[in-house]
Amino acid sequence: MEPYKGAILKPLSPEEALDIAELRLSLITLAVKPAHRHLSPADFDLAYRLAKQASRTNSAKEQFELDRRFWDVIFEKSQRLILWEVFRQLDERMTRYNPLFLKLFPDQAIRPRQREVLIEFLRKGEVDEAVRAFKKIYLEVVHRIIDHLGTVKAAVRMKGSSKPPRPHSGIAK
Amino acid sequence: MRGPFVQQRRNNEQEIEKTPLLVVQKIRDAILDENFKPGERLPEDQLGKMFNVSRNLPGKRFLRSKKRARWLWSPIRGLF
Repeated sequence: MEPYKGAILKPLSPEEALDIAELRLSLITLAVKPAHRHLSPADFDLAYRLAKQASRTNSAKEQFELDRRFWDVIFEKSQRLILWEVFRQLDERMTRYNPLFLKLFPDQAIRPRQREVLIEFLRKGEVDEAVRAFKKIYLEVVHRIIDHLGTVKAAVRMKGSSKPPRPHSGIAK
Repeated sequence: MRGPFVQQRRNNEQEIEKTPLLVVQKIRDAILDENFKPGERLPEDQLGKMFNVSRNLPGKRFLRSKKRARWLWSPIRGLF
């Protein structure tokens, strides 16, 4: 028999979403403080522009690229290369969640703007408040995603349990 | 005389280094465009054809390697 060759695109899971979110938050918290000292007015303008575009686009691909460029500005200025590397790895894992985000928040007008809020506070020099405000909105998004995935998971389980149990192969007919 | 051969070899080496990155980018784009959906099976041959990488090319090897993208899961090798 020919062995199975290929791959499966990993399914989304509430546990993975939470792990990624918590790790991302920790990395962002660690990077924002050192980055703030090196961010110039031009950097703030660029980051804000990227944040605004990322919140408004309806394309998952564009959102991914804008989000990456936004965090590249912050992590580059933080000069914490290991944090940046790990953050990018998590970004890759998060790719599968980007289309779901747009489905859960289809309306651009009321889409969460955590990145813009972060920059607004950082511009004023309020670093702790920036992180706090970012965290609050970010966690709301994450919990919305987790709730959705939990509901889907429960529905799939219910559907599976409603099927008649499979007969044991060892039982003689 | 050796110049063009050396250059060709260098180009090939650069191509080998670049290919996995290009494949990663193409898979990522396919996920973002929802051409690949979470939980979907991606047969190696189909991936190879889709990304235009033949069995002997580095891209094909990348799809089988442990270095491949983090969102993929192989039933043979497990999660990585």
